[in-house]
Amino acid sequence: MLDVFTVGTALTVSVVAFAVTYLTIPPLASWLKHRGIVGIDVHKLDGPKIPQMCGLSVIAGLAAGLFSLELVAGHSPDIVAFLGTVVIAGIIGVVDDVRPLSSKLKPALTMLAAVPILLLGTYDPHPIFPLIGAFRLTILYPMLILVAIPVTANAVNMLDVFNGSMSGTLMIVSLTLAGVLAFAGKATAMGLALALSGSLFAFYLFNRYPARVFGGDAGSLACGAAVGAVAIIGRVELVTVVALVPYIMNAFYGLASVGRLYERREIKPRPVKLRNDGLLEATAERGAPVTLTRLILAEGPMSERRIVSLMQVLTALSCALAIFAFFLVEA
Amino acid sequence: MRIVALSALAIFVSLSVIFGVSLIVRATIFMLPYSMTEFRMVVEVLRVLLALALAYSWLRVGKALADWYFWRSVSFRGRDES
Repeated sequence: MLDVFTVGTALTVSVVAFAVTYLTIPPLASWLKHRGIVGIDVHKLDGPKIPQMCGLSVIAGLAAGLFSLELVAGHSPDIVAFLGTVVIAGIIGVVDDVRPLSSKLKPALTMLAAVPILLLGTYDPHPIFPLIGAFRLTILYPMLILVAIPVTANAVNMLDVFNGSMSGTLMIVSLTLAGVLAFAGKATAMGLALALSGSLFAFYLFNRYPARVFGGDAGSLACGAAVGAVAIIGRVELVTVVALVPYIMNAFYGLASVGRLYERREIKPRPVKLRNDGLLEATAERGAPVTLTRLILAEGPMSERRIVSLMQVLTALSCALAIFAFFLVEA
Repeated sequence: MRIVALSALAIFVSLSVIFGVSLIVRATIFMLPYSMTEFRMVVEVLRVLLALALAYSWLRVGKALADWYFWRSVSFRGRDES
């Protein structure tokens, strides 16, 4: 367990990340709207135009939080590697927002986000598993990092489909990781997770239903890569996988249904349709991917707000099981 | 009802990750022990490939359950509407 001073420092980092994100979103959103960088909210009957790419504020908040962590806790390669990963994933997201990348190029490019972790060597090639302990993977672990960061980044990106769905659920995941890392006595990694929680909470206040801003791929890829980086730097790989189960279910079931990597815009049969009463309904189209949203809507139509609430409940459940996995690992 | 079904699915996937990974790791250690140190690279590659194959298998089981739940619910819904 960590001492009160360390936990206080990490909470301050979270507050800094929250404040910077919260304060930068309104000017960024109005600038993006003025430049016409907007997305249509397709799950509303009037289809409002919402400023996109406001996930850049999350990156700014994270950077500010991590800078304060560096000032208080001293220089750490973990912080530099984490920030490098987030910034590279964010840049790829910006490119995708401006000029959509193909379904194969996007995951391939997000591999670049793993490079700072590999270059700075902020990993331990002995992942720990419950009932077994450390498992030696000295040669292959670095290669698995090249896969892990694109997997988390793109899985998070695939669940960023409703107002607050990504920010609301990932906030629960990052808070869980912060708690687990505090218990494991990993101060820096806990600071990284808390900075992410702070930024995501500020973003959620603007992104929740009815959304005033969208994060864009810049936000979702950066946040997904951030969670992957926390898992690797904090040595909580399995705990993170369990916490991300709703994301894994959504991504794997979608990919397995379509049979290949895909972008939402490429899929012609729509998985979900908007009804005239404003509720969302799962279609019975055989060719559409069976995503988490479609599973939620299988028994009948629902409002967007309730779908996101259900996603949050499922994430909270998987996070509770992630905590169980952590204690099983520690036992 | 849907919260129960979806929670059950999420719990199944989560628990199978927690215990499945342990089983997979135990199986790979048993089948490919590190005593074969002269082939360390080969052993590591085989371990990861075996682990991926097993992980993919249980993800497919989860997918089959999800598909069954989805299409069953959609067909019940269609019957109720007609």
